[in-house]
Amino acid sequence: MFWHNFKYELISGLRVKDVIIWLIIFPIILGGFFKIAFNSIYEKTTEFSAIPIAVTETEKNEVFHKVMSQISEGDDALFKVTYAEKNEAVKMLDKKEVYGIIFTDGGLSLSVSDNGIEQTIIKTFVEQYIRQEKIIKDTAMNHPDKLDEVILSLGNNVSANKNIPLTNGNTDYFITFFYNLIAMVALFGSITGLHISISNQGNLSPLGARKCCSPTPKSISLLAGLMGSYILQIICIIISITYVAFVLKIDFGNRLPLVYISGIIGSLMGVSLGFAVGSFGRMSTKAKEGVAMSVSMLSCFFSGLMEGDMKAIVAEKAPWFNEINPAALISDAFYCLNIYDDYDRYIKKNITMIILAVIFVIIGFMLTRRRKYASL
Amino acid sequence: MGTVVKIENLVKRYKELVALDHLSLEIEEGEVFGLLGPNGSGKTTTINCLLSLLSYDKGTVEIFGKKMTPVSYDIKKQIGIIMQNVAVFQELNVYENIDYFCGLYIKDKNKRKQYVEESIQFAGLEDFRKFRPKKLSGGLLRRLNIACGIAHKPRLIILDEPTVAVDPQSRNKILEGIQELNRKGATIIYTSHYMEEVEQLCTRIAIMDRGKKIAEGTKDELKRMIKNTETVTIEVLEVPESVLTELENIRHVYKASFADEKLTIECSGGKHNLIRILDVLQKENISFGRVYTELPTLNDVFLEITGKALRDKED
Amino acid sequence: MQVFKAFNKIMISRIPIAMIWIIIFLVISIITANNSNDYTEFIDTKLDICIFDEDNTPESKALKEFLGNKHNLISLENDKDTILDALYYERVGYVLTISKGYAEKLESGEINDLFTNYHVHDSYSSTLVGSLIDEYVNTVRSYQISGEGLSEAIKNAEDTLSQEADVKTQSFSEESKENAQYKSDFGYYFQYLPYVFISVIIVVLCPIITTLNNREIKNRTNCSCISSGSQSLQIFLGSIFFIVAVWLFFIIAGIFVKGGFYIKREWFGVLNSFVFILVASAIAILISSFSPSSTGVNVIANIVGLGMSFLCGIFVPQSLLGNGVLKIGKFLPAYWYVKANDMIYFSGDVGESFSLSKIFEYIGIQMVFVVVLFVLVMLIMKAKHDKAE
Repeated sequence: MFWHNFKYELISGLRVKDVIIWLIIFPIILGGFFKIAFNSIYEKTTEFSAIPIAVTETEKNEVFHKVMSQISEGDDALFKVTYAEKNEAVKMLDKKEVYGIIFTDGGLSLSVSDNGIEQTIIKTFVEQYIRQEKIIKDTAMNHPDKLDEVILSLGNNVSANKNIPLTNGNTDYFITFFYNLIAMVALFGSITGLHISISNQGNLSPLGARKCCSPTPKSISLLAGLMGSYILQIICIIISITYVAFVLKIDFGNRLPLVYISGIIGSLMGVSLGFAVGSFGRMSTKAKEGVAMSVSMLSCFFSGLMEGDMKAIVAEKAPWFNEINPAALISDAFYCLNIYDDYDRYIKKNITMIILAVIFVIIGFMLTRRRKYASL
Repeated sequence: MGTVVKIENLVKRYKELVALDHLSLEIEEGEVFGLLGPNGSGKTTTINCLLSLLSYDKGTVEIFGKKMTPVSYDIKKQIGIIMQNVAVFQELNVYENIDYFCGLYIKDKNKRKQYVEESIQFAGLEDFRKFRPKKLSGGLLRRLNIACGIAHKPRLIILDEPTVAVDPQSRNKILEGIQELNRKGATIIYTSHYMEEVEQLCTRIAIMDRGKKIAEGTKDELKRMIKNTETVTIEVLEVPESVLTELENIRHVYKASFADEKLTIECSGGKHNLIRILDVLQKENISFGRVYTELPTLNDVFLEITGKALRDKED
Repeated sequence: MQVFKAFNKIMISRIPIAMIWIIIFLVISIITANNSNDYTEFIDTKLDICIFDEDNTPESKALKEFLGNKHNLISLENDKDTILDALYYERVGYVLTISKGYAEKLESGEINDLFTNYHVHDSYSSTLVGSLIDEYVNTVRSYQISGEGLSEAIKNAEDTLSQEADVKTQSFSEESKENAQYKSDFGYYFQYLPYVFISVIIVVLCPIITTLNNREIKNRTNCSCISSGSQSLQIFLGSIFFIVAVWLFFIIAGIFVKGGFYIKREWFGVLNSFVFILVASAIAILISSFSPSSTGVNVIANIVGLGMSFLCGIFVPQSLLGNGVLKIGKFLPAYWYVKANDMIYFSGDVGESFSLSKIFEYIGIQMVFVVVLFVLVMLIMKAKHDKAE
């Protein structure tokens, strides 16, 4: 009887094109949007083009002038320099034709109108110049014989700082959005779980009533329905992960098979969540769908789908929440796989998800197995 | 021939409202038992309590001699139900739906296959095997609903208003089908508010109103419960008051009324009422057109009994 | 006005669900508004850093003190996982280990392998810390080369490094004083409104309109003497009440979030949001004319809501988005909303200088979207009506 039920749940589930199509279209389109949006951010932050600045030489400073010429030459020039009088320079700053004005009157001073990357770069440049100037002046004053050596050494800056990569994984900040996207797909699977409990309850659907009158125990019918839903949801999540990993080419780290496994466990959790929600009381199907959707949305929000830092904020203010938030669990599992070498945390996240899934299923069963209904 | 269903003193309350008021019914094997009543009388509630779908406050329900509970799977195996609302899978076609529901009762694959085929034949759905419910007309959908309910050849079949919104062809087929099932040995419980069907189909009928059983018996027994045994209708142009009084004085006539060019005379008992009535008219030189005489229908029984009950309450 | 009445009846029955969504999104918008990261703050950020001093010499302590003056020192357990966690969750931005033998090597002029560092996010700030350390070492070295002893060199280096560029932020006319009135934090509340409006309106309106467009009911209504134009209009009218109610709710909630009434320029923000909610409604009505299922509605709400939000600069500021994306964004109404909002709340920063004509231009463009969408809806409804499948 189980297999009989299971077979038909699967067939009817597959034929509900509506849910499956949406669950597949959704990550494809949204993932595409993410990719476009985030890629473009890299363009802006990594692509470098010479920064337009203005220089007002109130006092002639030959050394500075020379340095300026050097760094505004060539293909990888740092700045694009325009020499101008003060008023003209200020006008250019106002019209945003330049990012800053360097004044050479005595020392160097800088005028900017904004707080951005470009301005910081100009500021850093000016500071380094001032400092190196001081070093040279001090040396010229105190140890003039060593001046040449010092100037040489200034040109040979060596880095003494070795960066140890803590992880072999992809540390790109924006990857969490993709993790959360997959978590969202898994949680949206709650809709299918919801319909299983509704179609098996006599007081919620005529189909449920008919099933209640059959000699097949409800537990078998429910289990078969759940299994069918699990399989359908697993198919959806596999397609999603494959799309994100291979078509959008998002780097999940080097343990992709385990990513699939977490995705699958997450889907089971999502379906079970829907199953539990669907078993509660006598709300209409639409209302329950609303609850399932809103729980999924909130879960994804607190896991950082819309505001990327949300998970960090929650980790600071209420870390326990991250341990039970379904979306956070799924995306954390991906993150652990990506960043950590060992499997401890990854396994812990997965086990938590399985426990949650089991709890949801038990709740659903307990609520659905009410023998008689007070009213139909 | 044993008792298939025994309901004793069933009480179901929804807060203030008493849906079933100490209802008792006994249904014997092989009967076609009709449950008649207006909407809200408690027919569906009775069925749902009988099936242990609905909880009830007092009373006992026994089927096949055993107490009925939600987990009486052995009893459930022998029951087939066809509910008011069509309960089928929208995503499965006709064959698959019947197969699914039959499979909830019959484990043996081969046996089930045979049963499903027979069920499809029975419901006249051979040409629609691959159709999904969306594509079926109202009548065909109801036939499918029934096919799903009886595929496993149950001993007891319960039908709750199975012919609502059904075309005459389908309706006839359904009624014939039910009779055939009964002939093959199934006990049938049939609820409806279509009097003609109940009259045609049922061996015994219980009339319900406001959660109570107000009358029970075979067709004839019920008809004998009311005053009216014959209604004579005569097309007349005009009838003076005096003639009406004279007609009412005829033995066995208890009411004579005239409206819309029709003279209606209701009689209770007697065999030759028509002759006596026509005599009076001829004597008074009243010419008449067509003459009809009708025996009481269940409609009359129902209206009179429930009318009585209502009137009594108001008194 | 039957369609209108029916609409309202269905709407009223769906109020509980609508409230759930509205409250959820209110919570989301308040939390995000309060916690928004200003991606564009780069200058002079004091980073949280952690330093492990394995050398424990006066020289290494001097370095630690120097860095501690420029940034915040956080102490952590020297455990790889703890460090990784702290870095990923941004409790620290940079972890430096001063290797044993630092002072010795520095003295002898050997400057390889003086430090190791961990950082996870390649942010600009962490790069600055790295380059500050490099600069420190190189400055010390330069002084050593000039002939000074180590401790003297360190003292001079620190002196030199304390030299900062004299930076003046040029404010243009009265603007920046004016701009200072408008708290950018609160601007984020308005920035997220399009996402909120789209999601709430689609999720609540679509199912109602879909019900009215349901084939049986639609056929029934079409047989009556109400024209399809009148039907569309009545649906739109019914929607208006709901829309205005939602809009008022968020605007009033905004007053509480802000802690004060709206002033001067902010009223343009209020107008901006009103126009956008009309846009959101038009989108919702357009979507409903395709009669999506309930799952479909939820998914579409997310795709349109999140998609538009990411592409138009709601979650990720426009200043960070590449030019290609911005070009696409221009065809979406939310882009213009954000431009207007930036001008109101982030003027002088990422927004353009406030200009009355521009504000009306941006709001006007959004109105054009409303009209175009509405015309589309009427056309589609008419086509369906006339086709009578």
